[in-house]
Amino acid sequence: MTKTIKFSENVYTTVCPGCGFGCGVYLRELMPEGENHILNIDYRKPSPVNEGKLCRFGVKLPEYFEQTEYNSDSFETGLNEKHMEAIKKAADALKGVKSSEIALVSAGNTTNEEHMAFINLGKTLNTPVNTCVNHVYKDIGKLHVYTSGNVSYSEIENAKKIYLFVNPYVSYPLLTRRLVHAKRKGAEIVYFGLKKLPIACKNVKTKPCESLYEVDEFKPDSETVIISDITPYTNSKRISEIVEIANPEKTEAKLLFMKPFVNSTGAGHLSRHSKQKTIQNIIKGIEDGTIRVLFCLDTDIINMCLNPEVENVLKKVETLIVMSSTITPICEIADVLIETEPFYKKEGTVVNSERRIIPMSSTLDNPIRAGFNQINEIIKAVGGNAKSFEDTKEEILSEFGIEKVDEFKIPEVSIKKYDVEKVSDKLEVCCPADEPDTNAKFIYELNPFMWHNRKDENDYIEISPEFISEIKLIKGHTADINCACKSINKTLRYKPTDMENGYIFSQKKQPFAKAPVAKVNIKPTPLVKKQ
Amino acid sequence: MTAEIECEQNKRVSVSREGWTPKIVMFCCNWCSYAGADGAGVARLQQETNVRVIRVMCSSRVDAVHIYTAFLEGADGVLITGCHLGDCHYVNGNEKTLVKYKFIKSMLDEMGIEDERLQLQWISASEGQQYAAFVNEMTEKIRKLGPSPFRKPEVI
Amino acid sequence: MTKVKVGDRLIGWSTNEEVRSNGGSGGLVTAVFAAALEKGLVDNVVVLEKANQFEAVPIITDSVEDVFNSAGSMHMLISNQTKYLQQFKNEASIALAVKPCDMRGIREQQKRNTIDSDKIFTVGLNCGGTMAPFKIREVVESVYEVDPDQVKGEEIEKGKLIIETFDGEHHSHSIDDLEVDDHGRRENCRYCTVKIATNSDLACGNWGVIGELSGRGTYVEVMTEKGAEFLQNAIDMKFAEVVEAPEKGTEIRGKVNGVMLKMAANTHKEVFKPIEGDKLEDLRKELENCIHCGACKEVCPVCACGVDAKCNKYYDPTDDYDISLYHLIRFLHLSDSCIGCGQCTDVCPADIPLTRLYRRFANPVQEELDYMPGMDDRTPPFFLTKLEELE
Ligand SMILES: Cc1cc2nc3c(=O)[nH]c(=O)nc-3n(C[C@H](O)[C@H](O)[C@H](O)COP(=O)(O)OP(=O)(O)OC[C@H]3O[C@@H](n4cnc5c(N)ncnc54)[C@H](O)[C@@H]3O)c2cc1C
Ligand code: SF4
Ligand code: FES
Repeated sequence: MTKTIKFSENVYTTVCPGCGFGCGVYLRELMPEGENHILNIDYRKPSPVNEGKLCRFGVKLPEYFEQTEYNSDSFETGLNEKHMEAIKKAADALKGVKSSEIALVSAGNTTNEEHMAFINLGKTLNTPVNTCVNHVYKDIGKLHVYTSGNVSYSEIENAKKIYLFVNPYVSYPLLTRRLVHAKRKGAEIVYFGLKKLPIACKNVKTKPCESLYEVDEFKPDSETVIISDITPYTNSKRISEIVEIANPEKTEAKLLFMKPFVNSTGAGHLSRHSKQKTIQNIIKGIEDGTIRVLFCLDTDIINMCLNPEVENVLKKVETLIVMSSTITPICEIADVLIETEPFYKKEGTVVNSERRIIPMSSTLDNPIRAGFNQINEIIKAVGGNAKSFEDTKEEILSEFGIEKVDEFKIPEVSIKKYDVEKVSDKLEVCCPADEPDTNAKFIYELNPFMWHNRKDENDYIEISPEFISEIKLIKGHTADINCACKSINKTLRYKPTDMENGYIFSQKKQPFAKAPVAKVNIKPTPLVKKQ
Repeated sequence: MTAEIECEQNKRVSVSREGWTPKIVMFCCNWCSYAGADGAGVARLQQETNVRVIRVMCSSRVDAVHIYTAFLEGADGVLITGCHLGDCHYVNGNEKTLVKYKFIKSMLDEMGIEDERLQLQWISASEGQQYAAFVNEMTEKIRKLGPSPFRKPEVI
Repeated sequence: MTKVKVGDRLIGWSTNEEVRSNGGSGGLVTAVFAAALEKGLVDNVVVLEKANQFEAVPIITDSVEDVFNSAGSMHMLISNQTKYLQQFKNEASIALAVKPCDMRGIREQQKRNTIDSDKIFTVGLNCGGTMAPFKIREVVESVYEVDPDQVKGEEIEKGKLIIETFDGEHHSHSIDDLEVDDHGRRENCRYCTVKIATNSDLACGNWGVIGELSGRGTYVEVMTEKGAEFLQNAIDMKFAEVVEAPEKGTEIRGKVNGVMLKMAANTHKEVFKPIEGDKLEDLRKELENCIHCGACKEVCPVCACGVDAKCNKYYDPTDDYDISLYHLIRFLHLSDSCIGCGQCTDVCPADIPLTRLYRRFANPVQEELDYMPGMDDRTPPFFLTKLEELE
């Protein structure tokens, strides 16, 4: 036999960090002796969530991790000097200010265990951990009962009627197969939106700001499953209307709210008792100087916000502490950066949108708990009582009212209402003035690539064929789009899509639209004559 | 039995025959049929005008991607022409065309696309007559078949 | 006994009693692997790291002990051994157990120069079919009325799926019944026509093991020189023992195989009955939920194109075609080479029955050309330069 290299291999049984769906996946780490590790995915067919199937984002996970992870070998031997130095700096900054001047943020991009340790840090510092997702609207606290997992994915398949408020193909692709099965069993699927979805039997034109009280077709009953989502950009009025009209206590209609981050539901649940700040209020606090230390745990506020100006606001905070398992834009402007092991190497649990508690493990002899240990080191450094990993696990189990983690059973959790700060209940619209020069409404379709600021073949817009002829776009050419104030212009390719006229959809963050809905002007890109 | 609810709105929209004229994409080998087309023109032979000719350096340059794209973009028929077997300028390009053609044919058949919509013919540079006859015959056949099932209403 | 040679039909088992009883049938495969590793014929063996009866992952090892611990058959592990091997880029020498379809994928990759046959040693396991783990978990709960966490083992015998629980009880149901509700073997397994991996180095299975050896030995057919060498090595190192297979056994093996193939042919007829009505509309409907994640290509064991493939490069998300070029190109490129392994259907997030669609295009061509990809060294017909070579 010809020359060969020595290999060793680790397999991590983990969850895709792309969105809150909670897809199970194996990450294979192949280590050729003396060379960099090679990552590959393997499909986790026994997973009750996705039976191994993954979407565009999940299929590209090896690339995602390889491009965003910190040199992960360094974590296997425990915390090194560089880590300890960052921890000390972070602790000093936290100790130097009043508790009201600290904002801790963790939106749910890491395990329950790390989130719980972070809450413990918050308790030591006497400040809540803000999740910034469940708190867009003053009533969201009350709605929490309904928004944190009320129906399982497999129950969707048996529904008689399904009301969709999300485009499954783009936002939560793994929902698609559940809907396919439901349709095959005779379910009527109605999509409330502006596109015509192949999966839907009926598409009811519903504008993003429209009140559901005015949509006659929205008549949920006991056999209806309503699928919507909660993201930092959700029109909160829409959520409360869904809950009010569906009135689950009376009608027994079922509600499923999808979440954008892998552990949004878990983080939301663990943080539920704390009086949290909204993301808008945190940004305001930084601007007026009332927040002096911002500590983000695996939450990139720059990626999360549609408005790129947030970066300049974040630069203003006295100390920006970022603890992150991925290299993201916020890491670059951090005053203190604490690097942790990549998500797939983490041991612990996450909770998906159906409230399933999913364990993550590996074939490693010694689990890597770098992130968890680092938070504990900070707790110790600010004078708190760090809890062991085992105790933290126990605490999480009791928070969810279960004795052991079983990903095949969704635990019944009694959920209580809680308070949040009051915020505006209006959907944030960029350039709200009625600009005479705009001819279209631009709407974002949120998806994992956008939340994680990842490249995909998605730098194009979607627009209806009729609208294409109306504004005279030329086949094979591009369109120019301006924001209402005309300060930003971008040339983009377009795709003819079966949808309402006068609207533009995008799956990628665009510079001319800083809000979920924006008024824009679209016209054909002028043809340049060749000299 | 629970049947899938018929969703009318998601049906493929087919193009009606009214006001329709066939659109045919024709790939001509530079060394033979392209010259054959020239010959047909010079000789002022009567020819149907529905054909868009694309010159390629050899019939084997025509890939399945080109054929499928032509259909997806609304062509009602695709014709490929090349040098007679043994006369290919690149020794055996047209032999390879035959292999490819066989597979594509079988696939189109499985999709229910009529046989006449894709045709292969060997036409040499001196066969202007044959060229014109082939174009006319195929146009007539495709006219009888009607619009391609791939064709969409908005494709003009 | 004389030396093992190509064409030999033997019954073999592990000399290690524990391995022999834990093994799928006699632990011969395990013995051959362990002996090869011990002797240095290979550097690595692929073993299964088991989480439970429903979940295991293949993982590489160079420890004989790991190999011994990995004996036994898992009917619910639908691993993709071809893709697994490709990760190593021919830089490791590896021995592994494969299903017939895995081996067909490997042979197709050998033709496409991505897997070097010198670097691998394969033991083909007879395969009557694999089952989706999550589905079986559900049936165990709903049909068998057994707590899935109590399952100790699983076995297929005489058309029955037998579930053994920790309390020693055996629960069994006929696979035919389970398959009425699509809860048995995967659809492609039900019409698969290669049940004995005669394309590997050693073809092993329990069909044809009769009498007192039943359940305690494996029928092995030596397919290649390498197979003979590895088996001989296991015997020389006293890891395995073999006897000549009795004629009756060989006969039974052939008979059972024949019955299975007949059943497969029936399923094939049913699954591929001619489509009534608009074939194109049917295909478009099947594909309408595709999100173009590319997973079906990613897992395809015969595709050797990598990311810069024609199907990827010519697919443009801004096209609004009824059927995307991605699918059309793949259907064409696989029509000569699809092995019907079912991996694409398994990973499709929209549950499109892709294998069925690929087979729809592959069946007529492969039948006409009498070409079975992955079973011999014939050049894939699409690569040929002359039509006559096809026939
Ligand atoms: C899915 C499946 C279906 C089978 N169906 C039949 C059948 O219908 N008729 C028949 O005669 N024999 C069948 N067999 C083969 C039979 O069960 C035994 O595996 C074979 O006789 C070898 O027995 P052994 O004791 O020598 O193997 P062992 O010593 O137990 O070694 C088996 C080896 O196979 C590996 N292995 C187990 N499951 C898998 C898997 N799913 N994928 C890849 N590697 C695996 C193990 O890691 C181990 O290395 C099947 C095997 C499998 C895996
Ligand atoms: S991004 Fe979401 S839907 Fe896609 S694979 Fe990951 S968890 Fe599943
Ligand atoms: S050069 Fe004319 S077919 Fe090859």
